[in-house]
This record gives sequence, C-alpha cells and structure tokens, in this order.
Amino acid sequence: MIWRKIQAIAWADIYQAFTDRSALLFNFASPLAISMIIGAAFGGGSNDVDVEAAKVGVLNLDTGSTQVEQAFGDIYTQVLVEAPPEELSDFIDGKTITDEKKARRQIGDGDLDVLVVVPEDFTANVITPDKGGTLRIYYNPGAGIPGDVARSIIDGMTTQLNNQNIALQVGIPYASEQAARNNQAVDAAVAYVRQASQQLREKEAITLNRVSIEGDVQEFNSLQYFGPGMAILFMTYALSNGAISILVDQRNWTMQRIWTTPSPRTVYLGGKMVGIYVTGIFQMLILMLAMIFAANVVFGSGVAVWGTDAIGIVLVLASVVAAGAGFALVIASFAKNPDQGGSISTLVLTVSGLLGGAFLPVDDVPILGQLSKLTLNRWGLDGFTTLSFDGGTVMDILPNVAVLLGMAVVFFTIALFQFGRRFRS
Amino acid sequence: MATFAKLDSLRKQYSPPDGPYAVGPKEGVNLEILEGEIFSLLGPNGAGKTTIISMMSGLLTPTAGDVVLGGFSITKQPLDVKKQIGVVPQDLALYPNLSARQNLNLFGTLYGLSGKNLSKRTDEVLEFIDLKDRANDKISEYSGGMKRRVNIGVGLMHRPKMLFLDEPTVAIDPQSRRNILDTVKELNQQGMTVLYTTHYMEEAQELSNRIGIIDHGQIIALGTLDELVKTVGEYDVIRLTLPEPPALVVERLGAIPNIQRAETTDGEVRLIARDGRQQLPEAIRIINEAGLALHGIEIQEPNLEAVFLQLTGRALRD
Ligand SMILES: Nc1ncnc2c1ncn2[C@@H]1O[C@H](COP(=O)(O)OP(=O)(O)OP(=O)(O)O)[C@@H](O)[C@H]1O
Ligand SMILES: [Mg+2]
Repeated sequence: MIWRKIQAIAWADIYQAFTDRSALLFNFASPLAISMIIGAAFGGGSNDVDVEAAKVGVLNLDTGSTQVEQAFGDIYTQVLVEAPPEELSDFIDGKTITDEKKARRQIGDGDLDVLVVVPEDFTANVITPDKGGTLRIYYNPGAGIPGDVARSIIDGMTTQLNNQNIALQVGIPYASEQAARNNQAVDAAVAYVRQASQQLREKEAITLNRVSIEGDVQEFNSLQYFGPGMAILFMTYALSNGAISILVDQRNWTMQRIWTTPSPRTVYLGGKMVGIYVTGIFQMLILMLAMIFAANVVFGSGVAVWGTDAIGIVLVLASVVAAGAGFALVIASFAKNPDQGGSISTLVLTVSGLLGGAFLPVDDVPILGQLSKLTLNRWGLDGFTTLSFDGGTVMDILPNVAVLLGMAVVFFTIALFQFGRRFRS
Repeated sequence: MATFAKLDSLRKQYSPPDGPYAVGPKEGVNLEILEGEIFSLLGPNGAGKTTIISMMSGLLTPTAGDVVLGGFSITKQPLDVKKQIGVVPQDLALYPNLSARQNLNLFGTLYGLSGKNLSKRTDEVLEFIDLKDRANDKISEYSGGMKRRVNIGVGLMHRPKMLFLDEPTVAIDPQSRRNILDTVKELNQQGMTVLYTTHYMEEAQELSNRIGIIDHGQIIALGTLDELVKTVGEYDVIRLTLPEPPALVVERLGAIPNIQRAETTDGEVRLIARDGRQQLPEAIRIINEAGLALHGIEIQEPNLEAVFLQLTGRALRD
C-alpha cells in the first residue's frame, strides 16, 4: 500500500515533467541544439561533413619471397600509393614512408592519419603454413571519418588477401573490392593465394596489429564530449525543477493536503525522490538516443556518442542521475521559496556544469581542473568519455560510479535532514 | 447528540522568528463538535481558524493539549484520525497541471483506495461536484468556482465521517458560493459532521447548527445563532453612511445615553444602541450641528456582526 502511494506521488511528478511543453523544449531541445552547435564549432573529430582524403603512409619493409612473383608489401604500396584505383583516390592520399619513427610522430601530431607498416619477411611469413604475418597499422583516433575510411579500406584489402574465395563472393567493402579487381598486382597476389589456398584456407595468415597513437594534440570527438556534458547539465536542471516542486507543493498546500491523508509523512518525500530519479533517467535516456540519432543525421557518421559498453553506460547513467537528484534536492532544501530555489539552482548548477567541463574541457586548466573534481558533472562526463572516446570498459568507470554514488548518499542525507528540519511543525 | 471531536486545552505557540503568536488562551481552547452538526468558526483574518484546523488534522503539532476525534487522539493515533476526516484547505490544494480526474485519483490512492473502488469513487465524486464532462481537463483551465468544487471533491474521496472546510467560498462569484453552500448542506444531510470556517457572518448564519466566534486566537463566543444574538440582547446596530467623520463627532455620538459604542469603518459610523430608533433623532442632530452630510441610515436587527462588534469593538470585515 505504501509503495502504491509512493508510486502515485512519483507518477504525478513524472507525468507533469513530461507534459509541460515549455519544460520539454528547454530540457530536450536546448541541450541537443547546444551540443550540436558547440560540437560543430569545435571542429575536429567526426564532424567534418565533407570527408577529406585520409593521409595514409605506407612503410614497406617486405622484400618478398622467392616463391612469389610479387611481395605482398608491394600490393599495399601499389593500391594505396602508386596506382590507387580511381574509386579510392577520393578517400586516400597515400605516400611512401621511409622513417617509421618520424611517421609515428606525424600521426601523433595529426599530420598523418594512418600508417601501414609491412614488416620484413611479411610475404615469406604469410605463405608459410602455421606462421602468418603481422601487418602493423598506426592511427590517430582523433582523425575522424577519413581515418575510419582508410582503415576500413586496408581492413578490406587484408581480409580479401586472407580469404579471397569467400571475399569475392559475399563482397567486402565495396571500394576495396573494386580496388582489388582493378589492380593487376592484387590479382596476381590473389591468384597466388588461391594456389596456396590449401595451406591458407583454415587460418588467417595475415593478422592486423593496430596501434592507436594518442598524440599530444589529439583532438577529441566533439559530440562524444559535449553530448554527455550537455545531457548531464540539463538533467540537473530538470531535476532541480522536480526538487523545487516540493517547495511549490508547500506553497500550494498540496504537500500539506497529502499530509492530512492517512499516510506517513515519509511517503511524500519518498514519492518525490522516486519521481525525481525516474524523471532524470528518462530525461538522460531520451537525450542519449536523440544525440545518437542527431550524430548520424547531422554529421553523417555512426559515432558511438556514448560508447558501446552497455553495462558501463547503465552504471554511469544510474549513478550520475542519483548524484544529480541528490544535488538538486540539497539546493531546494535550503531555498526559502520556489522562486529563490529556481534562481539559486540555475546559478549553482550552471557553475557546476561549467566547472565540470560541460562547455569546455577544463582538465588541463590549473585550478579549475582540480576544482572540477568536486562536481558530479565532471565525474559523470569522465565516465561517459572513458566509455566512448577512450574505449574503456566497466572496470575503467568503477571509480566514477563509486564517487557519484558516494556524492548521492551524502546529498540525499543532507537533503533529508534539512527537509525534515524544515517540515517539523 | 454525541461528541465527535473534542478539543482539549488545545494551544499553538508559534515561535520566533516566525513571530510569537499564540492560538488559544493560556489554558487552551476547549471545544466539542457534535456528531452530525455543522459547526462554524467565524472570525476575521489571522484569528487562528486555519491553525485550529491544522492541529485537528495532524498538520501542526499542538504546543499543548490534544484533539480526540472519533475516539482517537490526533497526537497519539494520527493515522486513525486521518482516516475519518476529509480536509478542504483554504488554498486550492490541487495539482494545476493534472486533470480533475487525475487529482481525485492521486488523493484517492493516498486515502487508501485502489483499483475498481478508486475509479468508481472518482466517478461518483465527479458526478457529485458536477464536473463529469470536464473531468479530463487540466485544473489550470478551470474557472475559480470549478476549482473550488474539485478542492472539495478531493476531501470526499474516502467518504470521511467529518469534513473540514477552511473558507471554501473565498474569492468566488455568488452563484458558485450558492452552489458550495448547498453542497455543504447536502453532505450534512447525508450525515457528515462539518467544521466550517469563514469570515462571512451570512454563511455562518445560514449553515450552522452552532457557531464559535474566534478572534486573536481565542474563542470569544460559542452557541447557536439564537443564543449568540441574545447576548447582544436588545441592542441594534445603527449604520450611518458618513464619509470621514471627525473624531470629535464620533466621540459625541458614542456619548449619547443608551448608545453603548460608536465605531468608524469603511466610510460609515456604527452605533450599537439599545432601542436604536429612539436614539436616532439625537444622533442626526449631532451630525447636523457638525455640518456633515449624512448619506444614508440603516438600522439592523441584532445579528452576528453585532455580536462581534459588541465583543471586540471591531467590525468583522476589518
Ligand atoms: N507558520 C506560522 N508561523 C508563525 N505564525 C503563524 C504561522 N501560521 C500562522 N501564523 C499566525 O497565526 C495567526 C493565525 O493564523 P491563521 O492562519 O490560523 O488565521 P486564519 O484565521 O486562518 O486567517 P485567514 O482568515 O486569513 O485565513 C496569524 O497571526 C498568523 O500570522
Ligand atoms: Mg486561514
């Protein structure tokens, strides 16, 4: 019965939060628009709508093998640098590399997007049964779409060389299939591989060894950063409305009226807290989906704005909303009346968002970088970018989840205490 | 008739910084409300009506004393008391962005109803407050009178034995007021005990079996309408419409033998007089002598207004 009552109060809040048109516009449209605009203005990453050709370097140390007419290394050089098929020329701007160290530095600096290193004895190793060769690919994850395209072309070529039979039938990425067909050198290699297929069939002879180089000037993928930043900020705004609704209820006497019903007083606060928390979760989820959608429509790329680790995402989401709900309740619990609560909340939450890096990354700013560690915005944002941009997993975000939940416990305790004190009559 | 609610030495001392103000005299308010009656608390703004209702409904903890209602103590068994009472607050205590039906459902749930019972009762109440066709509109789109009716409806959801109505007719049109007064009478005829607060003496006069007059936190008179009016005895109220009378004139009017008191309010001078008609010529003579223009004269038979005026020296509507 108590739970039903809590649900009823929570439901009233959630219903009102999601049927208030002006609130909806503010809570959803603005963070979406702002993160897109900041994202586009910041450049870098995947928001280049016109895909430029990727700067690809090929370092070929492969000297071939007496058993094959042409070294596999030469195939990469030919396709990517010397005689790229027409279809590829829009995407790849290749050059041969002689100095590996320098080339890797260039990747770090963003002067080169992808570096393919074909090691010595590559061909010989590939055609030796049970041995196989390793192709090393270096890339800058901040290189965005051009880098992605180049990598997928190289992947395609490699797959094709590995598994030419299947590849030619099912069709691997279009560009590289064409590239393979149009190039005699590739055809020759393919022909050889076919001959050697008895040995090659069962295992992949060529492995890709990818190394991502994070240069000093590595650019972030703007939406992966500003998306979560804005979503968290506006989630806290929305939750402050929920928290302040307690003060509105007190002014309208709906709270007092609830207290005249045969329900313990905790039912009211419990209902409010559940309502606020659920509203926050919905708000975040809707924004998360909207941003994924917008990233695809506006920027035309399948950027995983929130990463791909579902459990990690849920953990950060659940804990950042808990901290946000607690924070909003604390602010409301100290406000004199709804109007004061509204202005104080806006101010405090905006400052917290600013410090937490919602508008600009502050990690490297001397004092701000430290202060930002006091905000739930920073911990939540770091959690999300760890999952998306840095490719982290659940283990990597556990500290963030722990800190956020700790904040939530502290905030809820303060808010309960303060509201309890206020409402004593 | 049996006692349904008993206020026993009830007292509320508001503490600073909210201002030291006590509702109830030192020894507290003692009052019995009988089962099945309409009891009105009549008093001006700030008299303590809402404070008393709040203590009776478990919203405010009394500083001293207790209320026993339907056999349960509000301080010791608050939930048992709350099951028996419906509270209609002075403010429109409704969620403006929810519909009437949603508000009724929400509070019905809080009163412990659920499932079929809840939806059936919601329909009944909507029918009773005559808002069936507008049931799904938001409260914020209602007229003032409609909102007042929903405000009452919410308090009826759990069929309470006793209903508290705190100034339910403030700021509404005469037609809606009529409707609400009739509603209260109807509920009372169905057997509901009613505690009604107001600062309109006409309402108290029309509705109540018994009336308590409250001022500055104290119940200064208690009884049926007849009993109360008898306390002013043969006193009439003479109302002289006389804009801005000099204090000296008012003083001279008050000094007429058989005029007990003279007060100025709202552009009129009120004289409480034994045998009013007899004193009128002398009063008019004084006014003429002072060279003042008299715009109107009215003599009122004794009523609650006069009772209040006599007891406090002030008009009820100050
Ligand atoms: N929370 C409070 N803190 C301090 N004083 C209060 C508080 N609530 C009411 N009072 C004071 O107690 C007195 C009685 O208030 P109450 O609201 O009970 O009067 P009322 O008869 O209902 O008046 P009205 O007709 O205006 O509703 C007033 O002087 C008021 O200022
Ligand atoms: Mg009041």
